[in-house]
Amino acid sequence: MARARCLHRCDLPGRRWLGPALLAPLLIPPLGLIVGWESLYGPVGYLTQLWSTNLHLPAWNLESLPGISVLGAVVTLPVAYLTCSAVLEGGDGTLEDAVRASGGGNRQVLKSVTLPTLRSAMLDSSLLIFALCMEVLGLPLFLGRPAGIDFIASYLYGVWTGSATPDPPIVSAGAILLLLLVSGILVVRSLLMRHQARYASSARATPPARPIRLGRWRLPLAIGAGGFVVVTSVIPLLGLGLMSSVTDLTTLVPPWQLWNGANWSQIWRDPTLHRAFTNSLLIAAIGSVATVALVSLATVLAHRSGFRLRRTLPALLVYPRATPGIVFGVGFFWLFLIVNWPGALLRNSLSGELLALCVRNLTLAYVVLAPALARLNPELDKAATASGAGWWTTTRTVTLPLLRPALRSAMVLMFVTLVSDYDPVVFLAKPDTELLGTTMLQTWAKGLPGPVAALALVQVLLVAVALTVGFGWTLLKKARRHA
Amino acid sequence: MPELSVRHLTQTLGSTRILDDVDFTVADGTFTTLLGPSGCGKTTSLMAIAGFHTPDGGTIHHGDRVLFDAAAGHDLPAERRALGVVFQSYALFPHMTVGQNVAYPLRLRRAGKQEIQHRVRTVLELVELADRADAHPHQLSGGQQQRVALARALSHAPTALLLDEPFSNLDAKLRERARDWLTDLQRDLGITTVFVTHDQTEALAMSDQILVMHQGRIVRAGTPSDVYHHPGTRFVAEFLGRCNFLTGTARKAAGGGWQLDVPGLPGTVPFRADAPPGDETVTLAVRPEALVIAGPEAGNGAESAGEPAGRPAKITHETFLGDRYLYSLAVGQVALTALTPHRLGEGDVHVTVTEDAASVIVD
Ligand SMILES: Nc1ncnc2c1ncn2[C@@H]1O[C@H](COP(=O)(O)OP(=O)(O)O)[C@@H](O)[C@H]1O
Ligand SMILES: [Mg+2]
Repeated sequence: MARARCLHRCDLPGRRWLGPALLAPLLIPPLGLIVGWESLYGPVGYLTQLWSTNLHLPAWNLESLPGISVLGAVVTLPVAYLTCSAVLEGGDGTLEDAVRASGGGNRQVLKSVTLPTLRSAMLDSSLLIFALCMEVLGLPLFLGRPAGIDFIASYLYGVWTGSATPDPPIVSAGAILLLLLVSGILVVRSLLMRHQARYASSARATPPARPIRLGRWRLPLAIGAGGFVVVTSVIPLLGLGLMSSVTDLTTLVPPWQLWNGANWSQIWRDPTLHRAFTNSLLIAAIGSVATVALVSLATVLAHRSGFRLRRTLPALLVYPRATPGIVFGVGFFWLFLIVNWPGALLRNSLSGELLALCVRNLTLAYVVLAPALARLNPELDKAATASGAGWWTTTRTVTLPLLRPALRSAMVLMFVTLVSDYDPVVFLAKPDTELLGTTMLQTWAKGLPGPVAALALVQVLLVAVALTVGFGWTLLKKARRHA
Repeated sequence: MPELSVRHLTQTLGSTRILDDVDFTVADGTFTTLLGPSGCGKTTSLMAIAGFHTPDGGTIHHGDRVLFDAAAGHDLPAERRALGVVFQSYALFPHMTVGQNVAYPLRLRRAGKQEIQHRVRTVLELVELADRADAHPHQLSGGQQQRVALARALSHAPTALLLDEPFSNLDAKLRERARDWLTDLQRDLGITTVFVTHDQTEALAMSDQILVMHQGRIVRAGTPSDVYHHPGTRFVAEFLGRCNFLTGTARKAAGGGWQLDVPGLPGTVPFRADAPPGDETVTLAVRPEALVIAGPEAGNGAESAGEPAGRPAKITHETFLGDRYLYSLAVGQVALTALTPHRLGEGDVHVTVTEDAASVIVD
């Protein structure tokens, strides 16, 4: 059941080159997107009501397997997009020109250059998305529960929170099952990635890739991509805004009559909600910098050194994210409990959550950095070494500076993820150390969609700021160079 | 500057021998070329010297420094070998300017600011790029990039220079100029140099010593003219240019030399041999330009004593090469190719193989 859903989702990455417009879904963290969708497209959602009650047309059901799959695809799209854009940005333009010179059109360029060089990134992101689907907690919790649809993750969560004794055996068993499944996926990945060097171009100083001329496909594609973004992100975002500012969202009364700032003032006044915001911000800020710093080193170590464990490192780096978050949470919960020191320090504290979240999401940083590194010509390192630089100097003066765009992407991705991730910490969060995501889950469970929507909007704002700072800077620099 | 000596390098990957007892010495200040077809192990050998590749066995010495000694488990890290290396892709750091690229090895050696500036200017002047110090690599042409790579390799005044097919990305005209220019530079600096190429013209034009490699082995070593004229094996003879092969039985001639009877070829071919070739069949390599061709118009010239010297031959094909003419000839039943500086007239010609032209090879 869950697997079919996942396959459905994996079809989607093939279309991700539609355009940078796809970055838009990134603006909305998964939980926010889910709440937004639910409030508009859900069975009692605003648009569903308009559609079926007022227009008397057959309605869809978001709280069903196909409905959840569609939303799942939308939620996981940003991961795929960021992974591939990091690869494409450092692309070798002459490769694509070579195809054009051989008489190949756009289709040929995509088929013989763009997609093959994206292969490792596509593979990685497909597997990530697959794993993501296996364990995603918010979707079934928000949408599946009311319809009685349970997935492994939400089932385990339910058992855990409903059980009197912590960690009932069934949770551990389920967790191990999930682990085995995901491990299988990883084995497949390593088999497929054996010939990585084949997809690295000879990176001489080459001009960057030209944008692909779409010709007569321009308009339909632009409309398609635009429509996709509007339906999946812009409208739910508006719904989110609407929901956070009214007392009740219903088609019976026009929204402006229910206009009300109560949800927002509650965030400001309620210490729990307020704290959730500051905690999340702190974790995202510290976590993104620290993780990218560590992962970049680990990545370089894994791919460009004689380090003894370098063959196992890539697997190690991919494992945490592929490990279902909820399993991860259980693991960390017990780890902090069993290891007395420093477990006692980390248990019930923000740093413990920081650790869990960072360890779990470091894969995302790796997935952005590793393909970018694979595209760096190994002779560049050798040239630095031949000039007399040791491994660390080479990394510091050559490898990392050349990875700068990828590092920035990774940092933004980490920040965005840390702001919105929650499943590894659902068992770790205590009063005082709650995060935006866990607070949203709890508030939703209490049946208060208004504050959840407001919190979701806060996440959206944080993400928007991160993106503006991260990518806006790049654009600014490009603009200045052209001037 | 110290010499470079490579002893008995071997490397087996899986079941293939990538390096098979590679053994050579690059004398102090000389220019040695590793020449061979693609995949024969040239880059592997060069990278073993540079320190990026660890062979299974053998030693590498540079002067009295031990760079590598498999038996003693000694392998000096690449960054401490202090050699100058130019890579096939040039490997210029795209995020640094030309000046910063060239200064890079000096900065690593913590040279003073003044010294770096001075040295960078000197080296860039040497490669005639002093005015492009502030450009980024992608703003330079291929030839300029190649010279920056060379400047970077030379900036810390290494005692040996290693180059891996540095001209393979240049066009023919530029390649020829770069060749002369690099040779002059090498002579001026007197730097011990190992150069890798698959282009025999480059090797012949530039080297003091050529090492021809084939399937991980050095099959012939010597000066360019020695290797060219006395290839020793069919592979080397063919790799270094066009060649005729004549196979037959040898017999001793009156004057201490030898004569070869080639089936289908009228007359015999004289040749010299250090060791008696024995009773078995012998193959001679004869370069096309070493054949002496007497054209039809030569018949009524100075040596008008009837027939001109040599065997009569028919021209079966003529190719104009610009500076020379390439002829396919039928001499008896044997086909030969010949190169002449001027065009032969219509009609039959006469071919002579002199004693100096032929050298014995083994297959
Ligand atoms: N990493 C490797 N793994 C296996 N075989 C290799 C590797 N690198 C090189 N080889 C093999 O070693 C041989 C020599 O390669 P190389 O030294 O690059 O040749 P070239 O003379 O063209 O520079 C080739 O046959 C190649 O297939
Ligand atoms: Mg090579």
